[in-house]
Amino acid sequence: MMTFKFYRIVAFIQLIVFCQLSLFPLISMAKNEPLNASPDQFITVKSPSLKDYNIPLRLLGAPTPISLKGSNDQFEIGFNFHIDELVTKAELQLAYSYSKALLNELSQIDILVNGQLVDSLSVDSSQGDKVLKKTIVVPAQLIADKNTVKFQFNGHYAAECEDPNDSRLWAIIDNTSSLKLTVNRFRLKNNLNHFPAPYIDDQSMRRGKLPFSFIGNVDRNTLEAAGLLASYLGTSEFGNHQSEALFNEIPKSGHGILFVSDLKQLSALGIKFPEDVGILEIENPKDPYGKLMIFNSQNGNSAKINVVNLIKNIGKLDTDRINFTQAPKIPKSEPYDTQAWISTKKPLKFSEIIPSSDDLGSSGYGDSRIPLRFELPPDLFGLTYKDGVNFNLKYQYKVLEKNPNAQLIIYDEKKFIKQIPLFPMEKQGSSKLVQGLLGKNSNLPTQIDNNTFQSQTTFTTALNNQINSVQLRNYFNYDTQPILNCAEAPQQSTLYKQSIDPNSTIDISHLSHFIKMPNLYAFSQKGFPFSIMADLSDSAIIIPSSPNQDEISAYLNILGFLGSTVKSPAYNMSLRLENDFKDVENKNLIYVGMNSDSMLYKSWKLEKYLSSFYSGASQQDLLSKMKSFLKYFQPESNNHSLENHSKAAFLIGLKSPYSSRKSMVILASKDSSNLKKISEALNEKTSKGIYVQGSITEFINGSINSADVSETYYVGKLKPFESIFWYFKNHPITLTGLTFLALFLVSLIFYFALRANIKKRITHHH
Amino acid sequence: MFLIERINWKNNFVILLMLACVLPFLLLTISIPLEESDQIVFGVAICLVSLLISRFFSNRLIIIVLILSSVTVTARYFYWRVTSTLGFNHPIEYVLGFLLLSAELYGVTIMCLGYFQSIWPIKRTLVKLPDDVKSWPTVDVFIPTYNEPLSVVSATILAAQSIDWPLDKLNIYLLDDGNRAVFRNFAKEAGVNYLTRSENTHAKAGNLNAALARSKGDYVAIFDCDHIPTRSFLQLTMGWFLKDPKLAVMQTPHYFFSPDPIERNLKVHGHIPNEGELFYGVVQEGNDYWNASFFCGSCAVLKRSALNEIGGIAVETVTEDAHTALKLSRKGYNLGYISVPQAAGLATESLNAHVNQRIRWARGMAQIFRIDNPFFGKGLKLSQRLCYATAMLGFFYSVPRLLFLIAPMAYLIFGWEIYQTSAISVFIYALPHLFMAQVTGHKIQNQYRHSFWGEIYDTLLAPYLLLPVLFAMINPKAGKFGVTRKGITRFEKNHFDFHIAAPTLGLLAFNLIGLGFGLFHNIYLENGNLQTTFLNLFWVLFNIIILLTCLYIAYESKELRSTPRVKMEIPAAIYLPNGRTLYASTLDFSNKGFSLQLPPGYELKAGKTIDIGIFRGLEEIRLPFEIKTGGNILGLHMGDFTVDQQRKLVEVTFSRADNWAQEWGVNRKANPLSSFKELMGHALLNHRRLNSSKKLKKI
Repeated sequence: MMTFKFYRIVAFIQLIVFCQLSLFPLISMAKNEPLNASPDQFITVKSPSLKDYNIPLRLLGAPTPISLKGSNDQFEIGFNFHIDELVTKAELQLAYSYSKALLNELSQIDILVNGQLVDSLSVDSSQGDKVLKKTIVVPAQLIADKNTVKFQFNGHYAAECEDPNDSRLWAIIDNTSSLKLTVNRFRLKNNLNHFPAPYIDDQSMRRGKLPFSFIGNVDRNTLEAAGLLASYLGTSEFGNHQSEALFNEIPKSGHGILFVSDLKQLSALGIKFPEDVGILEIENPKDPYGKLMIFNSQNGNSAKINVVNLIKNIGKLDTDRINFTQAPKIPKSEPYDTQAWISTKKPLKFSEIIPSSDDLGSSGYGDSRIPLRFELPPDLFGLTYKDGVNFNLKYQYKVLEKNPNAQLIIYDEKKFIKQIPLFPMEKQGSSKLVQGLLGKNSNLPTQIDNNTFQSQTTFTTALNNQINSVQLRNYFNYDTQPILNCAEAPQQSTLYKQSIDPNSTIDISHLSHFIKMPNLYAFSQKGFPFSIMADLSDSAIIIPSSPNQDEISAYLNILGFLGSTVKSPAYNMSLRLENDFKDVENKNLIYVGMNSDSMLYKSWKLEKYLSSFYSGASQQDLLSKMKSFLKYFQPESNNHSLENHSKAAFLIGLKSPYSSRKSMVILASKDSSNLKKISEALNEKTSKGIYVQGSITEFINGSINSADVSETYYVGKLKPFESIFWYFKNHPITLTGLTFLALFLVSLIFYFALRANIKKRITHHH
Repeated sequence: MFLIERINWKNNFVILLMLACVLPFLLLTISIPLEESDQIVFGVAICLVSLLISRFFSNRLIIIVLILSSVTVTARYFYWRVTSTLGFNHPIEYVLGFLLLSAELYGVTIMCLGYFQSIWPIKRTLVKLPDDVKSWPTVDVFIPTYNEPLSVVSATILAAQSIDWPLDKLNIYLLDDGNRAVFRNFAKEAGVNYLTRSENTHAKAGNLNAALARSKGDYVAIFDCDHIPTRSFLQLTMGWFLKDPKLAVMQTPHYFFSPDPIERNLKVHGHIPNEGELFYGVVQEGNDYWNASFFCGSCAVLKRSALNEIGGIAVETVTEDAHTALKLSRKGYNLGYISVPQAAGLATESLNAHVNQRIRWARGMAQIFRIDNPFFGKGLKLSQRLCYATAMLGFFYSVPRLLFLIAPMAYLIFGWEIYQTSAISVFIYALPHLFMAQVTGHKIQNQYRHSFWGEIYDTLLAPYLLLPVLFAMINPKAGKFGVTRKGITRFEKNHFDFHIAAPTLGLLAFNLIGLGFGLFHNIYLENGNLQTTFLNLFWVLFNIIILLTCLYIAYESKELRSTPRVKMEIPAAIYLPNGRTLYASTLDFSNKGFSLQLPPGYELKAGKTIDIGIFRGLEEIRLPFEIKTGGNILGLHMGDFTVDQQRKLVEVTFSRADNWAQEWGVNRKANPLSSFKELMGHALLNHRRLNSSKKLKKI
């Protein structure tokens, strides 16, 4: 018992320490997440037309072993296929185990593929608690483009009387179990109608690089067209693909995109391209199963016109070639109207965000969770800890007995928000009056029918730094107690059903947009601030004057990344070559492929940031400010530049030197082949579980390091009232000083007024 | 400073312009939400700067700065309190939570009114009377008595006769409601008027009114029968009446040469200022600034014509004095207060009597608040209304005080969260508010009240004032005037007044239960929020300390002398029977005798009667005394003196003009921290923990 008391005392000391610590800015720490291996290694190509897949379940939506609990539980995974592939043989190689308490005749694990029962894993209690293996053959004809595999567990430890949540009811399917497929490829007809297939596909099965091949000269217009196409491909539901630029060659195998400005060179490569065609799809001469989509980029912006039309006419072009001469009208984006986050204009119903009502409900024999996720713009500003995302959550639940301990507990991603009894105690007369007086607080559940109740609650989730989404965990805790006295009444296990009403609302329309920059976290997660305008009309990308393959690859990948965050093609993006850098000074800028020879390397003072990055100096640190002040007087001994960190690639966020409200992101490396490290990290939104953040991130030897070294600035606009508050909130000393000044002034006014009165008072009527 | 001189502070436009700039900013300061750390920085900065300027500067401007800072910080606290801490879950939490909020609101209101009241205390000085004595007005001196012993009253009568005023213009009236023959004879012997009446209606007020009808002086000086006036009383006060024809009352402080029961039982008389010193030292002077000082029933001069206009002394309430002042104010008369003690008397003698006196005051104030509310009715300026209201509302403190004493148990025992926030937030918002209130209060009251000691007085009385105040609010007509008995109580030995201590014991028990339950249930068994529990436990501990000190007061110390001794060093000559004369100094005296310090080496034996000469300036009064105790320090007892002899003795002792003024307002100062330490010391039942417990003395 002493230890309990001791613990309490320690807790109190911690409380005091916390008070002191909270005076200092908190140090954010990077999370460690399990790494995601590339699936390429699980594919064996036997011949051009024949491939074998052997994919572990952990890459198909089961990152941890599948744990099935209770008397009735299920788990579903999915996998997709190319339209040019046909599965000829499929089998599941399962490793699994189950509780030895299960009854053989009543328990089993059913395996359903696309809803059809394929096989059942029967239970033999003598084999319980051991790892068993079984290979299940799946009829190939069941496999389609998009497929699901469902593991359905029925577990019983007693014939009649049992607790459906008993801990003895479990089965585990190991996530190293694998799906083995033999695939026959067939030749697809050349037809633009398939686009974007077969160029992109489900990455869970394989992740190839999509080559962008440039035949002839590469000019700005061509690159703009290629960039737009890359950003469109990034919007794919399967996520972004890595692009790879090739010069004057065609992909050795598989699919590819070609931009051709020199037809002679193309015919030298064995492809005939009619002069008057804009887009042409052909078979890859080097791979009969591969397709090439060729864009004519001979003159001006014809390639871009064709790309835009292709995107706009997806699924409508039943031909292998076409030529567009006029760009369709594309409505300009409004700020913040991207798909990357929920609308900031008005309160939204859940149904507008989560179309499937399946995601809003759950059922089970006991406690149940309904997780919900809402994407937010990263620059939402809350003046106080009370400002945040407003929710009006309506919920229904169907239960048989009213348990006063049952409650709905709502969590944010990290912290507890609210706890509501599902069956509040009936209020007696007088307190009913109080309840009536208080009005809004009387949110007693209403009964819809016998066992279904409905209620609602409003709450606000606070906004923290680095918030990109709200994750609500609605935990229905029924506090079920198993009744195991089966002799009296036949045990009836209750199925609880609960759901969140699609008419529940989420509201961020009252919040201003205002964020401290540079913020590479917001960039890497949401493409911010470039994603404010979904069509990138407020962004310009700068590339070296004569870009090499790696630089163009990086450029295409950045656009693919932006496309994947905003879910919209970059129709109005501007591209500039470094030697032609003009007209875009008032836009947000991305420099892709800066090296020490770049003209802007010096004028943007990149070495300054690199130096402070390596000297560990941060902008906020007074001591290092003094140090750097002292260093000013002595020659810089160990200057850091791209030259002496040639193995590293850098992602740098800066305030635009041309406009105080605009931002700049630079991808820099001495060796442009390093740039792909950045692209890969952005693609994954994380690099081996470590997030890109701060104002500068170094990518080196497979690791990343972030720091906050460049000048901070703010992007966005506050309401006038907020900006005054904001100023004083950030300058508490100024606030205190001015408060004293104000008090002193008022005191003087009082003083002189009162002093005048005292003369009257003592010398009156004289 | 130069800039400050350049601004025309009387130009309304300039002032309005400045206020227009500054007030919105202060509103922002009050309402701006800050991060916890920034709120700490803000609170600490305000408190620290205020503390420093209050240490190093001492003038009226700084006090105003402190007052405004305190009000600002408090407003910030309340803004936060109202917007962030009222999200209750349970109906009972609503009720209790809003009760607590109202109690806090009351405290803050009283705090602000107190600041207003004492923002600029006036120090009045003497106004010289005209040289032509014939132009001086006639004055009647009223000494009302009911049941006090003659030994108490006689000194007052004799001292009144010694007041410096033309004999033909000074009439002394002994108003004996007790209708006692001894008093009649003494009055005759001393040569003062003796008045009685057939019906003793309306107690003291009725007595005074009856005398008013049977006298005709221009002015009336009133002394309670135990308040012995000094000879300079009229010289000091009357000049103001001649200067200001609308002046109706000139009040002087009530000075007590005996300790009140609280002082006596805690043994802090002369070390810790009592309630009276605060009232007459700061509050009355502050009220005087707003022309709202009170008539306090005694030691005051009133103008007869003004009294006639309001129908004499007010009889509707049991605090006739305050009500009379209010009525005079309504008629447009001025009220004055001069902070020089010109009379001294006995404090209440037992805790019981003390409590009863305060009950009467509280009931009377509540009565006035009901039947003649200063906020309504004609004739008052807003500032006067506020000052009068402060005095009356001040007596309602028992309700919030009791709430504060029991509030923490809501959480500790019942788990009701009547203050919905984290403990840290409470600290960072409430502490600056409380701290600034202490710093500012200390700066205003300074040596007239030591911080936190008010808690003792308030807590002790709160249970007793609750019902009388509430009843007086419901039915202001009920209740009789109770005379505060003085000069008769003696405690042969220490005893504990269980009757008085009962409510305090109850509250203490409740707090101890809360403490125990909180420690066991919340900490040991780990229920509830740890921080909130700690906060409430601290609160309970503070309550317990205060309540323990109150209990200590109920433990009445023995008091053997029927008349208290007053320390006073006066030169005296001892005429020995052998013809030699010794010169010595008195140590202290009562109205029965005094003690003498002989020169070193001299000793006298008890039993003899010797002549003693006592000096007042060059004048010597020679009287025979019996030596009760011998030795180097003599205890002298006066024999059967004639009235003339007694008068002479009073003239050189009690009625000396400089007697009380010397000791007035020269208390030891104690900063809030040391004051708090002293208070803690008392709670542990050790009264010897006072720091340097010497009263400062001006020589």
